[in-house]
Amino acid sequence: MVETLQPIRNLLNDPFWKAAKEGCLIMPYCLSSGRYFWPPSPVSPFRTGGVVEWREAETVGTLVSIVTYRRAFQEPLKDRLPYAVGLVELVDQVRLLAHFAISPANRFPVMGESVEIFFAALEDDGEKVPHFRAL
Amino acid sequence: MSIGGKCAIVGVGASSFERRPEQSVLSLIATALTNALFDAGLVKEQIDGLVVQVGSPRGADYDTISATLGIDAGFCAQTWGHGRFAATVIAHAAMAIASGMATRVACVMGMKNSDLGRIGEANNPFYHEQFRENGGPHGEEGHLGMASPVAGAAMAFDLYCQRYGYDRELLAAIPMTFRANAGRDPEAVMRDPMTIDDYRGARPIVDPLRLLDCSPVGDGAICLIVSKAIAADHRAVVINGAQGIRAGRDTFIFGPVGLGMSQQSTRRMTLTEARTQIVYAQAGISPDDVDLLGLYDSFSPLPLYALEDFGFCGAGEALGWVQDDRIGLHGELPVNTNGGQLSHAQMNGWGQIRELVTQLRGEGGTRQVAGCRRAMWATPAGDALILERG
Repeated sequence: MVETLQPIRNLLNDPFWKAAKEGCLIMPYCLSSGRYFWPPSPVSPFRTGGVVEWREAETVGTLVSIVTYRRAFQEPLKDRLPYAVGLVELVDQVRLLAHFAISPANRFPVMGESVEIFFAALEDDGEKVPHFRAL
Repeated sequence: MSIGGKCAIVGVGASSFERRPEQSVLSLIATALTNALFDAGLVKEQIDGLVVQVGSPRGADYDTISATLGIDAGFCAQTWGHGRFAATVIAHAAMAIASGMATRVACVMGMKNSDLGRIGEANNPFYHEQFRENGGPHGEEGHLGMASPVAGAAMAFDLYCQRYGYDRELLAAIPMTFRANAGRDPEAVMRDPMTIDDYRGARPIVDPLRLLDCSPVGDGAICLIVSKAIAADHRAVVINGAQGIRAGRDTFIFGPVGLGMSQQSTRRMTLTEARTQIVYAQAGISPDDVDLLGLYDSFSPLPLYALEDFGFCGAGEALGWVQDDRIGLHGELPVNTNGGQLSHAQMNGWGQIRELVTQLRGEGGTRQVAGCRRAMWATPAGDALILERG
């Protein structure tokens, strides 16, 4: 089996990945309740019949939790060990998982620290996926 | 209408649990079913319902099991392959019996993992689950490198320790207690004593969790037979309460309600809310009446969350509460007396429910909990059972 890191793409989540490719964070937003939400849904998870649209979201947030991979579960990420994945709470009150490449140049943030989401690919020709770095 | 007291577990059976990649999973299931029938004093023709967990390709599906083993069942169901359905399967069986759709239901969990690798690895049938639309069942997002269930367990535990100010090393109490229990069960696959140095020196997998925080990959099957409760049957274990799995934006599978993982709120259940859930209302008891607990422990932090969400202690208190052998065999509240998934066998929690039956019958041998009358199965997912000696 050829292992790939390709996310499932479809009409529901396509706006997110298209914006990510341009380095832009957009999230679904419920107009009825005035709240961003995640993951993508065609209907508002907050209000029945709530109208949903994609909106640009603030990339700044707080690191809530972090795990560091010491063992490779995915062949394409083997050479990136150790790497981390963090749960980031954006200022818009939505939490997003994001990758963190551990390197001497990339300061490991502490819990509760302000971080920023950016987009980068994890494999050649791969989709640009959320990463985070300390602010 | 409550399910409480209407049905009983009348037979339990299991295969052994060592790795045997060359074996057919149907052979493991046949052994478990035959042992459960023998234990119940029944023949297979008396079984008219079958509820299966796991299914193909890790296990076998209900139709294959029925046709292969010669079960003629008029009520069949099958749940998802993840280890959060043990109580739900028993509850389905009890509901089918209480509503007149079946009289005796064989509940079967069988799986063979040894030739499939860890969940999250490419040759495992669950590999694609980490790329499931809107995330895997344990918070996986394979495209970010967030692969395998252990990562969700690690992330929730990291958050738990941050939120309540715990040193992660306190977690040793869970795997070490269960390993000590496993030493008294000849069936357990991990029986060598675990020292604190073994625990601290274990290979890191996904920080903050280590190898000894993870249940070992195993092969095996367990069968529980559910029937109408009959007062005269003293080996039967009565199902006095059951509660289903919860789901929603406030649920994270490997954390308590309101921990703050994924899109969960940060509002934890109050002690009163935790202690007045459906399972307690059905059984008419409180956590104080429970003599013995079976807790879901595919990873060592998980029992903490069930202890809190079912009101054995307050939110954020469990990691302190389990210290000083409180949950040991001779402690205030013994938990996973056969070693649990961490040391007995990773059988999706079915091993713990079978152990509760063994203990309630007074057949626990050197690990028997004295005076054990009421036992409870609970998971962070919310599914729970209260069982009572017949």
